[in-house]
Formats: sequence, structure tokens, C-alpha cells
Amino acid sequence: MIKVSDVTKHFDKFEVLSSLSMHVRKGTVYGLIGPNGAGKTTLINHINGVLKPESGKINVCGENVYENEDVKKKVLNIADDWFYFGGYTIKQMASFYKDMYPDFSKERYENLKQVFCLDEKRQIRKLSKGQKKQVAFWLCLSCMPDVLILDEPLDGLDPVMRKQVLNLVIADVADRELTVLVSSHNLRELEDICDWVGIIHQGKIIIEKPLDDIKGDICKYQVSFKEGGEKIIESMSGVLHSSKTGSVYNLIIKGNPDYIYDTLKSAEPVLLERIGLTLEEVFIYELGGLGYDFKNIIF
Amino acid sequence: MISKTSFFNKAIYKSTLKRFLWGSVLYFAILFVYVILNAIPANEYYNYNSIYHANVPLLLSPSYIIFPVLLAIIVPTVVSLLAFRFIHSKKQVVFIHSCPVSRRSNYVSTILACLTLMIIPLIAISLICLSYFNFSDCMIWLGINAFIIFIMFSVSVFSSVITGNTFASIVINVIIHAFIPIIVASFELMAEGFLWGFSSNSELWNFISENNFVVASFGLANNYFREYFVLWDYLKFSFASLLIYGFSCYIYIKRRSETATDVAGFKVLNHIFKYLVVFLLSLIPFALFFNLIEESLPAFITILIVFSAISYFGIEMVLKKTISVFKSYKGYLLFCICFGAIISLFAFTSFFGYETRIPDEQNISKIAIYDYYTDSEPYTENESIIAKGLELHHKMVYEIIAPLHDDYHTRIHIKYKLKNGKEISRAYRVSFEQSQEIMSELYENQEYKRLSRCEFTDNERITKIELDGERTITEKDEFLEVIRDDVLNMNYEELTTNENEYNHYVEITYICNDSDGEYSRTNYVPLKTDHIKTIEWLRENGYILVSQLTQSKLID
Repeated sequence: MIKVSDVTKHFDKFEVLSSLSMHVRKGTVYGLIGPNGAGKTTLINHINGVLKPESGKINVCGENVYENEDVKKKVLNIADDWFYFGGYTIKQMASFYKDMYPDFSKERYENLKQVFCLDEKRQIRKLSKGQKKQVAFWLCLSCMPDVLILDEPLDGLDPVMRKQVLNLVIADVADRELTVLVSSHNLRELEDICDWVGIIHQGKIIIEKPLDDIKGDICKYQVSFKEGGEKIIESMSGVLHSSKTGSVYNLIIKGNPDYIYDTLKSAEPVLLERIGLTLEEVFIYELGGLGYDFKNIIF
Repeated sequence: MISKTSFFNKAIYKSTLKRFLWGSVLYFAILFVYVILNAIPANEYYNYNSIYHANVPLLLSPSYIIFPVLLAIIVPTVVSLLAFRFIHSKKQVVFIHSCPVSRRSNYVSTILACLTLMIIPLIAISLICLSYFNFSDCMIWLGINAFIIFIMFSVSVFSSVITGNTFASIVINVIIHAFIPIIVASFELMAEGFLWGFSSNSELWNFISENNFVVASFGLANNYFREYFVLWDYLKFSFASLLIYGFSCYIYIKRRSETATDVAGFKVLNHIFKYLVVFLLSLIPFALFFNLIEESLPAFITILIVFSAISYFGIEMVLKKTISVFKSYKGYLLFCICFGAIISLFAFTSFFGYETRIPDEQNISKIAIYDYYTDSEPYTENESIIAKGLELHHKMVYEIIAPLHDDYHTRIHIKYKLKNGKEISRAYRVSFEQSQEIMSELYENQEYKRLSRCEFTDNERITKIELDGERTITEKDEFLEVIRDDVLNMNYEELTTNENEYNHYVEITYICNDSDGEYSRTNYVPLKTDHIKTIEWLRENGYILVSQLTQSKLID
């Protein structure tokens, strides 16, 4: 549905996107994660058709998105700082979306009115940040998009509304095969909804895998040996992190979990336990492997 | 696959209308208060203007049209800043450019909506005006205002699309309108400071003013100018505006969204904007410390360096949004080298022999020599005057010690029309004593006097002669004969000094036919006590007596 191939972009002399490639499949929820300044918003603005790549291609629904009205009709974007026309009420803004997006569904709009419980005659600028976010979801989902791009979408929403909004999005993914690209720093929430995850770092996608694979790839092992533990650990490949508490080693190892488990077991440890990582931990360890400074965050 | 795009987007058009409707209403309200309320016959303003502008349709008289014209110049700038604000704001540019609308149709729809917002109030006011003024006046009023809005908006839009923020847009808008006059004035200022004999090019200035959007707009508020503003002028400005609209569209399509909030919409323009503004700001010392050029060139150059440095690094700070800009000193050095080369060209090279160029006598077709008191450019083929002019020119170049710019001075102009069709024009700064000496010599030549004084204009071309601005002299031929006789018997001093004034004056209106075409001109001729025959004739024919009576009545 979204195919980014070898895209490069500079802002002045700074390379923001560096031969970046990614692929978001139809009907999936793709979580785009990365540290600050990695190029997430720039990438999203390319996929929106706002920015023109210096080199490479960006295809959405099989077509180049830049200056393509037909493709853009199917793509909706909710930025962290969603824009609305000053002085406009929700109803007026809905009218703008209705004129702009031919698939805008009045019926959907009326249905969602019950979900969000906002007075459509109120001026948007007078709403709270969370309410503005609700309006953004309300209007964008009413446009019945094929692709929904979300940049920090849940910021400002209360826990109940977060759940509501996520449910609406997931329902569209299930019912209409909506494709969602979501960029967020809240990895806990992404973990609940994403099928695929892409980690962007210094303008490049360093990992792009289904969430289950990415999580299965890296595991935490707690292991204790009678003797010679250090030599065994040193001989193992893919160790992203190692620390010792008493006689127990905490190891983060990337690779086939079963193979690693068997290898460790063959050294006859006193204690051996395999623990799955959260997406947040995967993110931190992956970037740590690339030199991203995380020491002070985790330990 | 190539996407189909249209030229117009309903959503953009409607939203632009909705968002800025308040501005349209405000524009209407201001025009209503100014034009309609003042058009009510019971209003004192209306009564005063009806009498004062009796010979002009009231709605088109300066009192009624200057303010609307001023609004028609300012309003498009404000509208373009508001409507194209989206390309200057990072948040808005992302929103608008992610919408399913091509830049071309976004641009066209925004332009059309803005023009609608500005033209509708004018139409409404014109319709209301029909109750008070006649149809044609109302339509001309509407046409003038709509035309100004159309041409001025094109430049405002262009300024918006080439810049990255609102402030830069305003500055560039002003610079575009004033760009050519400022550049020409700047070079003239430098030439004035360094080139002896430099003469401002009036034809160039005429061309500039005839083709300047702001001058043309203000000119349309003036009845006299409007008469000379023909269909070709309307077409010329409209066509130029259409080109600007088209070029602006192309630029908008090509500009990158990420330049929002920068100074320029394109990286390359940053350098152009920078050096242009620095160049213009560096010329300020020429205006403020002009006399220093003659008194202390080193002091002047020091001031110039300080000004240009402040301008350069100031602009760098604005462009780069930081005060750490001194690493870019190489750019400043480059500017200094170029600017220094331009100044040196004027100051030390005599500008390719400009100062010493005197044509050969055999190459001269005509010559005109004149000062402040001369009524027109007295071009002549008279050989004695040409010889006299060349002698004078030599004297000016090699002998005359010019007064300082700050000293009380006047100018002697020498113009040549050469046989090869070229022209040479020089203006020399001289003291009043020097001027009197030179001109007295010229006035000894009766032929020169006939050429330079309006009293000697052909009788058929003189359309009106008035005494003291209130009584027409009907015996035109008779009067001209006596005044000409007097002038031929008077010398330069008698004709120009204030000491022998007679408290009466004559206004001679005649048809001029020069490079500007045929036009009417009125010259003021103060009568002197040395106009002996003229005064006697006026007395004999009862003109002075009547005039004196009228004057005394007025004083009473």
C-alpha cells in the first residue's frame, strides 16, 4: 500500500533521510518508531505528498503520491499538532473535509458524533488539546480513507478516549482493510495495535519486521553458572547487553531464541530463564547496538 | 500513471471565501463610510466638493477617489499575506499540501477567491453609488479600483510565493515596487557624488514612472494623468500582471514546502535577497553623509564600510536565525570587493571618459544650454550658440571650480543632439554668481533669448494669456508684440532678479511639442519694472487698473 524506495532528503547540508526504504502492506498497522530527530515526521510528510524526495520513489496505492490528487483523496493524516482553520466550528471544518474528500461519509460522521460527544457548533480553537485530537479523528475517519497516517496520535487523549479511538481504527482495519502508519514514542500502545514495526535511525530504516518476529528475535536471559560463566558469555555472538547481579547474569541476546537457549543450557547452568522483551526494550537495545546512548535510561 | 488535475478546487475557493469574508465586509464598510456617506447631497463634504471640483465628475474627483485608490493599493497586499499565509507556516503548509488538491488548482482557486473578496465590495459600492452619481462615473470608478486591485495583487502574490515568511514578503513587496527606481536612484546618487557634470536621465525616469505599478495606480486618481492613460496602458499593465500571476504559479509549484518560515522560498534567493538588501542599505551613507565625499573621502569610506558591515551581518543574522554569523566574513569581503569596484568605477575612472567627453563641433546637430530660469530646453542649430556652448563646456570641464554640494548653488545644463542620433547631457553645479556670468553672456545673443523664453512661442501655439491669474488678455498678438520687444531689450539680470518686480504677473499657456508628445503647458512670467512697454500697454488697455481694483477688493 505504501512503498518507499531509496528516498533521500537533505535539509540544508543535513541528510534527514538517507536512501530510506520501507513497505507498509495493505490492511496492516505499521508502527514507525525512532529516536528524536531520526526523520519520522519528514518521512511522514513525504508519504503525505507534502515534501518532494530528492531521489527515490514514494508510491501510495501503487502511484506516486507527490502532486497526485487521486491518491491523496485516499490518504488522511493526523499530525501531532493537527491544523484547523482559525475561527472554524467542527461543522464548518467537516464541510471543508466533505468538499475536499469525495468519500466523506455523512452517515459515518453522524455515527461518530455519538462516540465523541462534542458540540459540532463549537469553535475548534476553543477546545482542549485532547478534544481537538478527537475532532481530528472524527473528521478523518469520516473521510473513509484507505490510508491513515498518524503522528503521535494519542497525545492529549484521556485513557478512555485512547481506547475508544484505537478501537475505531482497529475496527476500520478489520472491516475495510484500512492501512495505518503510526508514529509514536508510546511504544506500549504501539505494541497493542501494530502488526509491523519499522525502526528508523539517522534517516534509515534499520529494522522492518512483523512485531512478533521483532520481539522473538531478541530475548532476555537470566543465567547463573557454577564456574566459567564469563568465558561462556564471551564466546556467544549477538549479545547486546550483559550485566551481573550477584552470581546471576542478565543477558540480552539477539538471534534464534531456541538455539541460544540450547547453547546456554549445554553449559549446565545452575539457573536459566528466558524472558520475552517489550517493544520498548527491543527499541532501546536495537538502538543501543547502533551506539544510541541508553545506559542512563534502563539501568 | 499521470493523475488528472483541474485548475479549480471548490473546497479551497469556498474555505478562502469563508475565512476572509470579514476582510471583505470591512473593506466594504470603509468604502461605504468614505464614499457613500460623503455622497449624500445633504452632506457638507459633498457640497464643498461639488463646487470645488465643478469641472470633474464628482465621484472621480481626487477627494472621492484618492482614498479608495490608496486602499486598492494596500488591500491586495494584506489579502495576499493572509491568503498565502499557509506557505509561510510549517503547520499550515503540511495541512494544505497533504490535501487532495494540486498546487496549480490550489493557487488558481486561492487567487480567484481573493479577487472575489476584493471586487465584490467594489461592485456593491458602485451599485449604491448609482443612486447618487451617473452610470458611467460609477463604472469608471469601479473599473479603476478593480484594475488597481488586479495589478497590485499580482505583485503581492509574487512576493508571497518567493518568500518564506510574512515579514520577508512585505519587505520584498515594497522592494519590487521600488526596485528599479531605487537602483537607478542609487546609481545616480553615486554618480552625483563622484562624476563631475553628471546629469540625471529624465527620459529614463519618465519611462520608470510610466511603467511603475504604484505610480500608475496613484496616477489613475488624478484627472490629468487619467486622460493620458490610454487603452494601451491598461493592456500593458494587465498583460504584465497576468505574466506575474503565471510566473508566481510556476514558482509556487516549484517551491519546497520545507522553506516555510525561512526568509526566501528558494535557497538561491537567500543570496540574491541578501546582497540586494545589503547593497541598498550600503547606499544610505550617500544620502546621509553626501558632503563628506568632498570634505573627507577617507571618513566617507569608513562610514561606508561600517554601514555595509552592519547591513551584511545583520541580514545574515536574520537569514540564519542566529547571531553567530561572523564566520561568513568571506561573503562580506566579496561584497566589499564588488561594491568597491562599482564606487571606484565612478570615483577614479571618470566613468569611461564621461567627465571629459566634449563632442566635436562638426558632429553636433543641435545644442541646448539652460539654467533654472529657462522656460524650456532651448534646442538650436544656430552655429554661434553651438560654438558658445562648446566654449562653455570646455570651461566647465577644465576651469570652473565647483561649489561644494552643501554650498548654495544652481545648475547649468548643456545638452547635445548629435548627427549620429545620440545625445549627450551634462549638468554642472555652479555658484549663482558663476551662473549669472555664464547666462548673461548667452543672453547677449538675441537668438538665444528667442529660443529660451516662452514669450517667443509661435502665436498660433499660444492658447491663453492671463494677467494675475484672473483676467484673460484678449488682444493676444498685440500684447505678445510689446512683451517680446521688452524682453529683447532686457538683459539676463533684469529678467531674473527679484529686485525690479512690478507686483503683477502674466501666465502664458501654450501647446508644447517635444519628445513627450503634444501637451499644454502654462508658464509664469513675473512682470518687472523693466517691462516698460508691456506695463504701458496694460495700463492703456485697462488691464492693470481692473486687476488692481480686484486685488484691493480681495484685500478688503
